[in-house]
Amino acid sequence: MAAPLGRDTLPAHWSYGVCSDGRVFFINDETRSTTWLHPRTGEPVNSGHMIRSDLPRGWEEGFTTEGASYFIK
Amino acid sequence: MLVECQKPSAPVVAKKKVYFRWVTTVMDQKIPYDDYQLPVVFLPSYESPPAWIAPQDRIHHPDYNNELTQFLPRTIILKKPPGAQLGFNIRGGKASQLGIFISKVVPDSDAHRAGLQEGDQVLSVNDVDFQDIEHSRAVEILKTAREILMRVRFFPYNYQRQKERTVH
Repeated sequence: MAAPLGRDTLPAHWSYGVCSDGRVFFINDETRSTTWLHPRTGEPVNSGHMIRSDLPRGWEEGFTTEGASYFIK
Repeated sequence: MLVECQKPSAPVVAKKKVYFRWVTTVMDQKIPYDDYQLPVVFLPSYESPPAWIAPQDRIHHPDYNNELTQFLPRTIILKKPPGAQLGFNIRGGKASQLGIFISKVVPDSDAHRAGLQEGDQVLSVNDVDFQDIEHSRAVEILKTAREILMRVRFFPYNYQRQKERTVH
Protein backbone atom coordinates (compact mmCIF):
# COMPACT_ATOMS: atom_id res chain seq x y z
CA MET A 1 0.00 0.00 0.00
CA ALA A 2 2.85 2.41 0.66
CA ALA A 3 4.39 2.18 -2.81
CA PRO A 4 1.90 4.34 -4.69
CA LEU A 5 2.12 7.00 -2.01
CA GLY A 6 5.80 7.77 -2.32
CA ARG A 7 6.57 11.38 -2.93
CA ASP A 8 7.76 10.74 -6.47
CA THR A 9 4.58 9.06 -7.59
CA LEU A 10 2.22 11.97 -7.13
CA PRO A 11 2.02 14.87 -9.60
CA ALA A 12 2.78 18.45 -8.60
CA HIS A 13 0.25 20.06 -6.23
CA TRP A 14 -0.95 16.68 -5.06
CA SER A 15 -0.51 15.09 -1.67
CA TYR A 16 -2.38 12.51 0.32
CA GLY A 17 -4.19 12.43 3.62
CA VAL A 18 -5.11 9.61 5.93
CA CYS A 19 -8.46 9.51 7.72
CA SER A 20 -8.60 8.48 11.33
CA ASP A 21 -10.19 5.20 10.23
CA GLY A 22 -7.28 4.35 7.94
CA ARG A 23 -8.67 5.31 4.58
CA VAL A 24 -6.31 7.16 2.26
CA PHE A 25 -7.43 10.02 0.03
CA PHE A 26 -5.70 12.40 -2.34
CA ILE A 27 -5.55 16.14 -2.15
CA ASN A 28 -5.24 18.46 -5.10
CA ASP A 29 -4.06 21.84 -3.88
CA GLU A 30 -4.45 23.37 -7.30
CA THR A 31 -8.18 22.75 -7.62
CA ARG A 32 -8.74 22.55 -3.86
CA SER A 33 -10.43 19.21 -4.11
CA THR A 34 -10.06 15.75 -2.66
CA THR A 35 -10.66 12.32 -4.12
CA TRP A 36 -10.30 8.68 -3.21
CA LEU A 37 -8.59 8.03 -6.54
CA HIS A 38 -4.82 8.20 -6.99
CA PRO A 39 -4.17 10.83 -9.68
CA ARG A 40 -1.80 8.60 -11.62
CA THR A 41 -3.29 5.16 -11.28
CA GLY A 42 -6.92 6.26 -11.14
CA GLU A 43 -7.55 3.74 -8.39
CA PRO A 44 -8.27 4.04 -4.70
CA VAL A 45 -5.50 2.93 -2.39
CA ASN A 46 -7.04 1.87 0.87
CA SER A 47 -10.75 2.37 0.67
CA GLY A 48 -11.88 -0.95 2.09
CA HIS A 49 -13.78 -1.81 -1.08
CA MET A 50 -12.68 -4.28 -3.67
CA ILE A 51 -11.10 -3.48 -6.98
CA ARG A 52 -12.01 -6.22 -9.39
CA SER A 53 -9.85 -6.75 -12.42
CA ASP A 54 -12.82 -6.57 -14.77
CA LEU A 55 -13.95 -3.13 -13.68
CA PRO A 56 -12.86 0.07 -15.46
CA ARG A 57 -10.38 2.28 -13.63
CA GLY A 58 -11.79 4.17 -10.73
CA TRP A 59 -14.59 1.66 -10.04
CA GLU A 60 -14.78 -0.59 -7.01
CA GLU A 61 -17.14 -3.22 -5.80
CA GLY A 62 -18.91 -3.02 -2.49
CA PHE A 63 -21.26 -5.35 -0.68
CA THR A 64 -24.37 -4.53 1.27
CA THR A 65 -25.07 -6.17 4.57
CA GLU A 66 -27.27 -8.69 2.74
CA GLY A 67 -24.44 -9.63 0.43
CA ALA A 68 -25.66 -7.92 -2.71
CA SER A 69 -22.90 -6.41 -4.77
CA TYR A 70 -22.88 -2.92 -6.17
CA PHE A 71 -20.39 -0.74 -7.93
CA ILE A 72 -18.92 2.56 -6.86
CA LYS A 73 -17.02 5.14 -8.79
CA MET B 1 -20.85 10.06 -7.73
CA LEU B 2 -21.99 7.27 -9.93
CA VAL B 3 -23.49 4.12 -8.57
CA GLU B 4 -24.69 1.47 -10.91
CA CYS B 5 -27.97 0.38 -9.46
CA GLN B 6 -31.64 0.45 -10.02
CA LYS B 7 -32.92 3.91 -9.21
CA PRO B 8 -36.23 3.70 -7.43
CA SER B 9 -38.63 6.39 -8.48
CA ALA B 10 -41.11 6.01 -5.66
CA PRO B 11 -40.23 6.86 -2.09
CA VAL B 12 -39.76 3.92 0.22
CA VAL B 13 -43.02 2.65 1.60
CA ALA B 14 -42.56 1.07 4.98
CA LYS B 15 -45.04 -1.73 4.49
CA LYS B 16 -43.36 -3.12 1.38
CA LYS B 17 -41.11 -6.12 1.89
CA VAL B 18 -37.48 -5.72 0.95
CA TYR B 19 -35.94 -8.35 -1.26
CA PHE B 20 -32.40 -8.77 -2.49
CA ARG B 21 -31.14 -8.05 -5.92
CA TRP B 22 -27.83 -8.35 -7.66
CA VAL B 23 -27.71 -5.49 -10.10
CA THR B 24 -24.97 -4.38 -12.40
CA THR B 25 -26.65 -2.17 -14.97
CA VAL B 26 -28.03 1.32 -14.85
CA MET B 27 -31.71 1.48 -15.57
CA ASP B 28 -33.52 4.70 -16.08
CA GLN B 29 -37.07 3.45 -16.36
CA LYS B 30 -39.34 4.58 -13.62
CA ILE B 31 -40.94 1.47 -12.21
CA PRO B 32 -43.07 1.46 -9.09
CA TYR B 33 -41.92 -1.03 -6.48
CA ASP B 34 -44.92 -3.26 -6.98
CA ASP B 35 -43.89 -3.97 -10.53
CA TYR B 36 -40.28 -4.87 -9.89
CA GLN B 37 -39.69 -8.38 -11.13
CA LEU B 38 -36.60 -8.80 -9.08
CA PRO B 39 -35.81 -7.90 -5.51
CA VAL B 40 -34.51 -4.50 -4.50
CA VAL B 41 -31.73 -3.57 -2.14
CA PHE B 42 -30.99 -0.25 -0.58
CA LEU B 43 -27.45 0.83 -0.99
CA PRO B 44 -25.35 2.60 1.57
CA SER B 45 -24.92 6.27 0.73
CA TYR B 46 -21.73 7.20 -1.02
CA GLU B 47 -19.03 8.38 1.33
CA SER B 48 -17.00 11.25 0.00
CA PRO B 49 -13.43 11.84 1.11
CA PRO B 50 -12.84 14.64 3.62
CA ALA B 51 -13.36 18.09 2.13
CA TRP B 52 -10.34 20.09 1.06
CA ILE B 53 -8.87 22.35 3.74
CA ALA B 54 -5.91 24.68 3.66
CA PRO B 55 -2.52 23.12 4.47
CA GLN B 56 -2.04 25.12 7.63
CA ASP B 57 -5.27 23.75 9.07
CA ARG B 58 -4.41 20.14 8.41
CA ILE B 59 -2.35 19.44 11.46
CA HIS B 60 -5.37 20.07 13.62
CA HIS B 61 -7.88 18.08 11.61
CA PRO B 62 -8.54 14.49 12.67
CA ASP B 63 -8.98 13.35 9.10
CA TYR B 64 -5.76 14.91 7.93
CA ASN B 65 -3.27 14.61 10.71
CA ASN B 66 -2.80 10.85 10.76
CA GLU B 67 0.43 9.14 9.89
CA LEU B 68 0.21 6.47 7.24
CA THR B 69 2.71 4.28 9.06
CA GLN B 70 0.23 3.17 11.70
CA PHE B 71 -1.96 1.69 8.95
CA LEU B 72 0.71 -0.18 7.04
CA PRO B 73 1.01 -3.97 7.22
CA ARG B 74 3.08 -5.30 10.13
CA THR B 75 4.42 -8.70 11.05
CA ILE B 76 3.65 -10.22 14.42
CA ILE B 77 5.37 -13.38 15.59
CA LEU B 78 3.97 -15.35 18.49
CA LYS B 79 4.98 -18.62 20.06
CA LYS B 80 2.13 -20.61 21.50
CA PRO B 81 2.96 -23.46 23.87
CA PRO B 82 0.50 -26.38 23.70
CA GLY B 83 -2.58 -25.74 25.81
CA ALA B 84 -1.94 -22.02 26.00
CA GLN B 85 -4.50 -19.43 25.00
CA LEU B 86 -3.94 -17.24 21.99
CA GLY B 87 -4.23 -13.97 23.89
CA PHE B 88 -6.59 -12.46 21.37
CA ASN B 89 -10.03 -12.94 19.80
CA ILE B 90 -10.96 -12.69 16.15
CA ARG B 91 -14.18 -11.92 14.39
CA GLY B 92 -15.28 -11.95 10.79
CA GLY B 93 -14.64 -14.25 7.89
CA LYS B 94 -16.05 -15.06 4.50
CA ALA B 95 -19.61 -14.29 5.50
CA SER B 96 -18.94 -10.65 6.23
CA GLN B 97 -16.82 -10.18 3.11
CA LEU B 98 -14.53 -7.86 5.01
CA GLY B 99 -11.92 -10.24 6.37
CA ILE B 100 -10.75 -11.37 9.78
CA PHE B 101 -10.24 -8.77 12.50
CA ILE B 102 -8.81 -8.74 15.98
CA SER B 103 -11.69 -7.96 18.28
CA LYS B 104 -9.91 -8.20 21.59
CA VAL B 105 -6.37 -8.48 22.91
CA VAL B 106 -5.74 -9.77 26.42
CA PRO B 107 -3.76 -7.15 28.37
CA ASP B 108 -0.15 -8.11 29.11
CA SER B 109 -0.30 -11.11 26.82
CA ASP B 110 2.44 -11.85 24.29
CA ALA B 111 0.09 -10.64 21.60
CA HIS B 112 -0.41 -7.38 23.41
CA ARG B 113 3.32 -6.86 23.85
CA ALA B 114 3.89 -7.65 20.20
CA GLY B 115 1.68 -4.72 19.27
CA LEU B 116 -1.50 -6.51 18.27
CA GLN B 117 -4.58 -4.29 18.75
CA GLU B 118 -8.31 -4.31 18.30
CA GLY B 119 -9.11 -3.26 14.74
CA ASP B 120 -6.14 -5.01 13.19
CA GLN B 121 -7.11 -6.94 10.12
CA VAL B 122 -5.36 -10.30 9.81
CA LEU B 123 -3.98 -10.52 6.29
CA SER B 124 -2.24 -13.87 6.61
CA VAL B 125 -1.11 -16.44 9.14
CA ASN B 126 1.89 -18.67 8.41
CA ASP B 127 1.54 -17.91 4.70
CA VAL B 128 -2.16 -18.77 4.61
CA ASP B 129 -4.17 -15.91 3.14
CA PHE B 130 -6.81 -14.73 5.62
CA GLN B 131 -8.51 -12.19 3.41
CA ASP B 132 -11.16 -14.54 2.09
CA ILE B 133 -11.20 -17.38 4.60
CA GLU B 134 -14.02 -19.00 6.56
CA HIS B 135 -14.15 -18.00 10.21
CA SER B 136 -13.99 -21.61 11.41
CA ARG B 137 -10.97 -22.35 9.26
CA ALA B 138 -9.19 -19.27 10.57
CA VAL B 139 -9.85 -20.37 14.13
CA GLU B 140 -8.59 -23.86 13.38
CA ILE B 141 -5.34 -22.58 11.93
CA LEU B 142 -4.70 -20.29 14.86
CA LYS B 143 -5.56 -22.87 17.47
CA THR B 144 -3.43 -25.64 16.05
CA ALA B 145 -0.33 -23.60 15.28
CA ARG B 146 2.59 -23.71 17.71
CA GLU B 147 4.19 -20.67 16.21
CA ILE B 148 2.26 -17.92 14.49
CA LEU B 149 3.66 -15.51 11.94
CA MET B 150 0.87 -13.02 11.22
CA ARG B 151 0.70 -10.18 8.78
CA VAL B 152 -1.76 -7.65 10.09
CA ARG B 153 -2.74 -4.10 9.31
CA PHE B 154 -4.69 -1.65 11.40
CA PHE B 155 -7.83 -0.71 9.49
CA PRO B 156 -10.56 0.73 11.70
CA TYR B 157 -12.78 1.61 8.76
CA ASN B 158 -13.46 -1.99 7.83
CA TYR B 159 -13.44 -3.13 11.44
CA GLN B 160 -16.26 -0.74 12.17
CA ARG B 161 -18.19 -1.82 9.09
CA GLN B 162 -17.84 -5.40 10.11
CA LYS B 163 -19.09 -4.75 13.59
CA GLU B 164 -22.17 -3.19 12.05
CA ARG B 165 -22.77 -6.31 10.03
CA THR B 166 -22.46 -8.86 12.76
CA VAL B 167 -25.76 -10.29 13.81
CA HIS B 168 -26.13 -11.43 17.37
